Amino acid sequence: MTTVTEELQISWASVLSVAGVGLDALRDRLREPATAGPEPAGDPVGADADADADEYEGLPGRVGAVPDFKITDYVPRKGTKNLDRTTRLGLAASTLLKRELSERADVSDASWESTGIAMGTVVGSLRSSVQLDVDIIRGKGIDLVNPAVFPNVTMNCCASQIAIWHRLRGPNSTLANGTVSAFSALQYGARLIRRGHAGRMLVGGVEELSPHTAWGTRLKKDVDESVVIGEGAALLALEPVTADAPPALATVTACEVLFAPQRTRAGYATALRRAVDRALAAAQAAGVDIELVLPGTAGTVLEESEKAALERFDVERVDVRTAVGECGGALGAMQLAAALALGKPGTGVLMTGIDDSGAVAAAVLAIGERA
Amino acid sequence: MSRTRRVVVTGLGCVSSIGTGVEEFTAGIKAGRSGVTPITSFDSSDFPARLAGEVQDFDPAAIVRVIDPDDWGRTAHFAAAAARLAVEDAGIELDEDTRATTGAIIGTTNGEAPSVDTLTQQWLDGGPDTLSADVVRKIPAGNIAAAVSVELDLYGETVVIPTACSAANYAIGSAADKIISGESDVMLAGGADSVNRFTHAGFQSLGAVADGVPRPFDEGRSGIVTAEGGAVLVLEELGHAQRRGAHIYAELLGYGLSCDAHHIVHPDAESIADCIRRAHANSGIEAADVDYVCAHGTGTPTNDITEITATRLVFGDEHPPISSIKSMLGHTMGAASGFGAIACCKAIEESFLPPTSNLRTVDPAFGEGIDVVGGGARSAEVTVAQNHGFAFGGNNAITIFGALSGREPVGAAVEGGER
Repeated sequence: MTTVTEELQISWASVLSVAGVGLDALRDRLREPATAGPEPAGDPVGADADADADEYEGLPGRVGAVPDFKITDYVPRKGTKNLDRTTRLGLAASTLLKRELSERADVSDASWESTGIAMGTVVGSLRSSVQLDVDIIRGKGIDLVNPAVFPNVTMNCCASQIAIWHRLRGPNSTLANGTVSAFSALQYGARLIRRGHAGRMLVGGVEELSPHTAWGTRLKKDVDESVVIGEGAALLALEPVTADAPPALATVTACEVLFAPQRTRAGYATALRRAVDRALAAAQAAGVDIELVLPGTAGTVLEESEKAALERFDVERVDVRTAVGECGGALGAMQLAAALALGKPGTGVLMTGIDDSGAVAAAVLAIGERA
Repeated sequence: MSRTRRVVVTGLGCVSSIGTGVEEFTAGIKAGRSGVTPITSFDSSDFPARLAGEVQDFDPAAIVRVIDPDDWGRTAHFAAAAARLAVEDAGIELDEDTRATTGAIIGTTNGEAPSVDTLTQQWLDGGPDTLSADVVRKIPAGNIAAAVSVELDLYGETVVIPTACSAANYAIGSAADKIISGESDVMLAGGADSVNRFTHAGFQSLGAVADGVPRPFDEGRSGIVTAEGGAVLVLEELGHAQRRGAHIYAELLGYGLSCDAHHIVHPDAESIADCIRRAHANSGIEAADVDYVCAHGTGTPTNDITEITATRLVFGDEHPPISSIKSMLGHTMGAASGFGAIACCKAIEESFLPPTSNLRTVDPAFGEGIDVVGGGARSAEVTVAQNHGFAFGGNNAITIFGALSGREPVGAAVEGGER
């Protein structure tokens, strides 16, 4: 039995983004966002390219996918046929993460019994829901419904498939909070560990590129057309700090997810300022200096509210959203991964975000010597 | 893990097919009222099963005071209305300091599926560039909790946990943990879902939909009836509740979570039993302390035998009464364990066992000694009630409610927690 302390560490991370696979690819993209370029990064829609090509026709702006992504590069082909792209991305990220953790001498096989998942998402796989509904409407009933794909429309499908593939029997959870979903996942996962419901949590977020999310995002006009509509998945291994574990990539200093009931520019700013205040107080108490800020709303109508809440910080800022594209439920996870990729050992990284639902988030990671 | 802060339930709110508001809902449960009726929310004429537990004539504007219903989807309407009713039931006036830390954690299976359905029809009718931005804005599932916090002017953590049909129990557990850990004194938690075409069809494609009314635990049971509604609890730190003289329905003693990690749609009895044991340990109770089990009880042949097998593994021959309120409501999916939580609180408060309706013959495969509370609600002292929620993906979540007593709360760490 692990002695659960208040302090939690991120012991490893996996990331698939439009920049490619891994923290190094993400770091390169963040340092030179121009390489995001005007062209889509890689195959825009993966295995569904032919079927989807017509449905992107006329779409304003650009889309980008995880380059050359094939789930069979990560897991055996058997059992992957009916998985949707959201699940495939999440499964790939979890496979990379589990593989890394399993190589550690202090990670026992039994530990997977108490390992859980907290996966952030906006709405699950919107493509799966729309496609199923199209089949029903066109089939005038259920004749065209494939029962094997119905579970894909439930928002917890990705997390559940990860548990099944990797035999993770701890709390299996999915958190929906728009673009700050991954911060909710981090907060939730940390709470589960601290309250004794899990020994380890894999926390993060996922978003698939689909014509439905792309068109929906463009039609809302909340995101500047210069921002690529992207996708990706990132997962972090969150564990109690123990003496026998290897040095952490980072420790979790603060994670605050709050709400702005007055969903105006001023209301969002006030709520985010409140979250930042709390995160900053935790950082100061822990002796962590913020030397890097990763905002989450660049290129959106919420940008001014976030700037107002961050005006006190005169430190380097890196725009994650523009670098990896508008990626919904994965955005917060990309910010967390970016903190690990860019943060200097011994310093603090502040990540913030606002979702137009009213949710706001501020988190601080203290970067470890191993990063 | 030991703890000093205790969580009690001081407000109950719901919108359901058998009644809106906790008193009407409870009266419906006690009377064995059925909320199952022919589907009206979509054209079901081409479907072999055409019944659902819909909330007929639901007008959110009659309940909510702040949100504009036109800005939100039907599932958010259910959540916000149930939350408003719960706060009114609690008789709580939230001051500025309390609102700063009070939020809403709401579970769901399908989120705003009716809005997705609308979007799909627009896509088919006019192509992608004709989608309504207003409909697109309603679709993110986080809106369901957001509607609650806008309605109640809350600044605290607001999030949706879409862990399918166990989701409300996940939400209740997490909200309780926030209070126990001192992050909040008051939280809103529960679940909401809406009947919709593609979920109905999806369950039907699995062969999981009943050929008539739901008959949980009956040997002739044939499946679920999809249903909808919202169920929200006001959770409050005990001292906070006592200082304001609140009515306390019950204490949330604890909860347990587990994942089968086995199959996306087939439940696993051993894993469910493990979840029950985790819930007991977290609550500081023994199996023998449980007086009543509010079953997941969907009425599918597989679920019910698996659930009874699991409870047998934990309770043995000393099996407490177990019943399914889905026999009356239908399967409200992400709201289901929220309704179960309300039923448990009222069972404790008013000393009764909710019935399993529509029973003809209890499935003999369950074995001897299983009391599924057929024949109507029954008077009984309920000190500890166990509330089940199981879901696609093998996501199990169980909450334990108890009559408020003077004993110390006890929480326990999860087994197998070593690294």
